[in-house]
Amino acid sequence: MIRFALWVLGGLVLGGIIHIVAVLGVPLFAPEPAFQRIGSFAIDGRFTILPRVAPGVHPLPLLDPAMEHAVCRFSLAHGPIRIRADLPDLYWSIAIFNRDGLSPYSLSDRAADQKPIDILIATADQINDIRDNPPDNFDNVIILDWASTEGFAILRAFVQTPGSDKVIETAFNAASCAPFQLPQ
Amino acid sequence: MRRLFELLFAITLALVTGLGSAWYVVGDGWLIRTDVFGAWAAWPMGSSPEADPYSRAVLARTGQVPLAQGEGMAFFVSRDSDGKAIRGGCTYEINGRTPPVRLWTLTVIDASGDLPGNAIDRASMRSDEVLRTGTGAFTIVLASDAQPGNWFPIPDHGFYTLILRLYDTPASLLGDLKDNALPRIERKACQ
Repeated sequence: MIRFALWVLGGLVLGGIIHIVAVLGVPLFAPEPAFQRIGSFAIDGRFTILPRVAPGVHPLPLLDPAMEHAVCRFSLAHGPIRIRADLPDLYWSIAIFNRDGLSPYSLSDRAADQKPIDILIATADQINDIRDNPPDNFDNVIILDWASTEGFAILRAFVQTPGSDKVIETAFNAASCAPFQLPQ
Repeated sequence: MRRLFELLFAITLALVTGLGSAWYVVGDGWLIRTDVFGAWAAWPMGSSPEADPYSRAVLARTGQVPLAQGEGMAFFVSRDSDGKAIRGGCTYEINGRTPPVRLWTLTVIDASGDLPGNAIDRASMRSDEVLRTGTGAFTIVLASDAQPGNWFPIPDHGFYTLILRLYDTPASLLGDLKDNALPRIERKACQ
């Protein structure tokens, strides 16, 4: 009997180890985290407007149907990425996520004082290059020290009135999310 | 021979309990919404860089892009205030108020995360459209047939989850939130 109890105990301990390994392993083997999903329908280095959430239409899970969304996946391999957008006077927000889907930085229109978005995402080395040789007109740029070299940004804007969607889409189309060339 | 059986038994037990419990926790992401206010549950650390391994696993598995800390917070509920699953064919009253935020939206999703759709094309109820009493409280009626006031149509079958998204919330929101700060969901009648 004791012998059997020991086997059960051993099984449960091994089960605990398997549990931990399985949970930690999910991000490595998950077929479609947000970063991959976005890459399947959007070109990197520019904003893509997502179809409005509707019955049967959910470009990414659990988005708010009251919002318009645009996403941009980026890589810092060929230099920093500068995100610029001038969004209409209604609720909007931007969140920047890393490859794992975690967001170290996000901002709403009110926190931004309704000023246009101007964010530079750069690695520590790239930031050093910028500090050594600061570009002109760079005082109002928010500089993000990015720990990895990949990520994505999502813009959300509230469709306040039935006509807001067109205004928002125009602003999303004019938004940029492109590599920033350091002045030589 | 006996030892082989015992070894197989222990390995089977380990796989079933280990993988089963991992699947159970990571599954659909409900269990990690650990901040509970009345019937509503939130996942405030969901996308923060300090997220725990379970949150990271759920994020990777579901591929969702949750509201980040500077954007707002989403609260989920799939049971009424008596603990019964919210289902089509029943009428529910959502009574109360929300914390003072600039904007909130209420949406309904089905078990697969899809919007169920309805005849009046209402995808959400919003703070700037909801009818309120003089005190600022509101009643939203979830029902499959037309209702006066704030009517949110739901189908007459299936199970549903409500999502209340508060936008532009202060970082201190959760700490200040009391259990009764979010609306109650009361079941009225069922077909």
